[in-house]
Amino acid sequence: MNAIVKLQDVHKDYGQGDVVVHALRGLSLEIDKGEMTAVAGPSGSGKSTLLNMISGLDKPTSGSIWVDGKDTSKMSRSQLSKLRLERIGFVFQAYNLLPVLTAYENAEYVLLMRGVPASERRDKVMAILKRVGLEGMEKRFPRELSGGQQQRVAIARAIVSQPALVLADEPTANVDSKTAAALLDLMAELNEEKGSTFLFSTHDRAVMKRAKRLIVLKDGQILENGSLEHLDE
Amino acid sequence: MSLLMKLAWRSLWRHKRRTIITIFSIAFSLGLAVFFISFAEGVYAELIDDAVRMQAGHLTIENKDYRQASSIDLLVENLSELRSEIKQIKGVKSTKAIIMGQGVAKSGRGAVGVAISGVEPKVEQSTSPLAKKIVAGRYLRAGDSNAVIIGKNLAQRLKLENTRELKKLHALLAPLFSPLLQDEELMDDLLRIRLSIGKKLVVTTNDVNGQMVEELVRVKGIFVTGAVQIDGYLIQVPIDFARHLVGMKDDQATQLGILLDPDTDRQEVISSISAVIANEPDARSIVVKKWEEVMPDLAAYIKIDGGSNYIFQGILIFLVMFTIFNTILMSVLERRREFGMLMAIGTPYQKIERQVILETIFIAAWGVLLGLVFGGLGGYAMQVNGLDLRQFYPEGFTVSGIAFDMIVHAKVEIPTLAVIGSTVFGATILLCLYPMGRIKRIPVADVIR
Repeated sequence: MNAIVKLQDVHKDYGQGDVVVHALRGLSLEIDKGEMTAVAGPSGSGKSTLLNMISGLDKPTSGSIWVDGKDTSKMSRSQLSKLRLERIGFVFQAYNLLPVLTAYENAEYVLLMRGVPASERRDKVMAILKRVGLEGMEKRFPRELSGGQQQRVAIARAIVSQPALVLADEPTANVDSKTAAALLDLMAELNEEKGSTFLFSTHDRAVMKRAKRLIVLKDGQILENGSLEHLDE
Repeated sequence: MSLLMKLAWRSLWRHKRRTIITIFSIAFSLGLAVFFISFAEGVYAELIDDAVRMQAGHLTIENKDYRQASSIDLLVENLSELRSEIKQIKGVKSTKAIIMGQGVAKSGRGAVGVAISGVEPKVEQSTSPLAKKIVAGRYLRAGDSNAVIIGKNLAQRLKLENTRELKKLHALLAPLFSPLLQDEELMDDLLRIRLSIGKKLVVTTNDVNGQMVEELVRVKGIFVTGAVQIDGYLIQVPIDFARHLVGMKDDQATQLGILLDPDTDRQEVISSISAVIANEPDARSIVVKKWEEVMPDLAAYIKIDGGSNYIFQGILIFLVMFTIFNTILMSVLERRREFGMLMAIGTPYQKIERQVILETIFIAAWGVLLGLVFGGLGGYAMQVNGLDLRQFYPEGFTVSGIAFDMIVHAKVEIPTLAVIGSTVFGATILLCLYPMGRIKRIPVADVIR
């Protein structure tokens, strides 16, 4: 089995009684290792809910989800936390860096939580910051960096531990188109170089074009699933 | 510095003003509590010290029935042997024999009911504050016979001064001193006191056989303690004269007072004294009592006043705790997104908890440290210099017949500082439990968007 993520008939309902919102309706899909997949769709289509389900931040109402071969629906809160720490990297729309830590310390954080020795940590962090183009900015705090630079730190933090899966929720939504293009280049390069699996949500057509695979959601269901060229046809 | 420490420390100083206000709130309330508790401890310690020195000691050996009916025939026998054995006990500083009785003091112009206290002048001079309260004449001396010291109020009530003599002195001194002594009453007061010295009194009381006896005594000194009950009611005579008056033998007294060294384990001394008493011929009739049993009014006052002081300080600290609680809760609630993100990237919940605890510890440690320094230094200054209360209480202040020394001193003690400091520190740490619990309930998926 080459799938890093597998969803089987996943439903997610919010609310109770008469006011129930069906965020996901029987979603089934597989994402293979090394893929760079975009999840697109209008607001409220279920993109973020899908990412939250895969990361274990939210539990499905019914159905099963496997990440890296493990059934997350049977995992406890702490097991899910461990899974995220060891196997999943996160890139958020609003960067979500720790404001009191420098760029270096933000990137180092996950390695520290994983108990990686200091010397190894230093090598890895310096290498990844260089790779994302932040060499020389290690000591800067997030407030001293531009939006694009902050998102580069967030990407560095997400991939520094070489996770099996990187989830990115609208990673370019808060940056200009030029910076967005540069960030996408970076993610594409990292996907090629390190074989990291990227799954990001977006509603930007330019971003969708950079993905090798596109999943389009509407009202919690998969509307389309394939390459953009294929979908354009 | 570990990452958690770094995170906690830097997170605190991200909101400098809030952190500083919180630290100073803790420091202020703790400082006040330390100061007032040290102040109260000092006042109580002085009050107890004065009382036990003036009266029957930290511990008192007396007849077991004496407190029910303070009769002159309820004696402690075999005094010298008992004293020599008790003096051997570790922690015993000195002993004092006392004869307490009731009677009437009569002058040519009045008669007043009095408490007669037969004391050992040499011992009292070195222990009793009364010896230092003499305002005219002198205190009793060893070898004095038919001598008495009385309070200023009693002297006034007995009208001991010679009226003709007083008028003569008034006439003589008024032109000379009236510009200086503008208060005529004060001059009159001073003259009356001075003129009471050397005057004669007749003391009437019952002897150990219940017979009425009386003796002529001469006033050697006038004391002013500020306590109306003492200044207007107590007379002191040499113990040998008191024995002669009431018909006691040399080896008898109504009380044997025991003064202890500071920081002595009182219970241990009581056990040792009880063992000594058990070997006495009158073992069944005598007991050793704590000063609280001998002066229950004073003990009750200290208990009530001390209790209310602790309650007041407790309320103050409790109110400040709300500020601290609010600060910690706000700090957690406004960082929901930060904590949510940390949980999203896999930070174990316990690590986030530890970060919040560390932040609280930093705040509490600084607050407590500053509070102890402020309160401790304030208390220490008051311990060294004292506070003169005479301008607030010109008439003096008495508790259960014991006059407050109007220059009061605080008493700063390390164990007190440690208890108050660790209580506030512990309470502050406990306060972060609820905000910490709120972290668990953060809807991570919602807050990280």
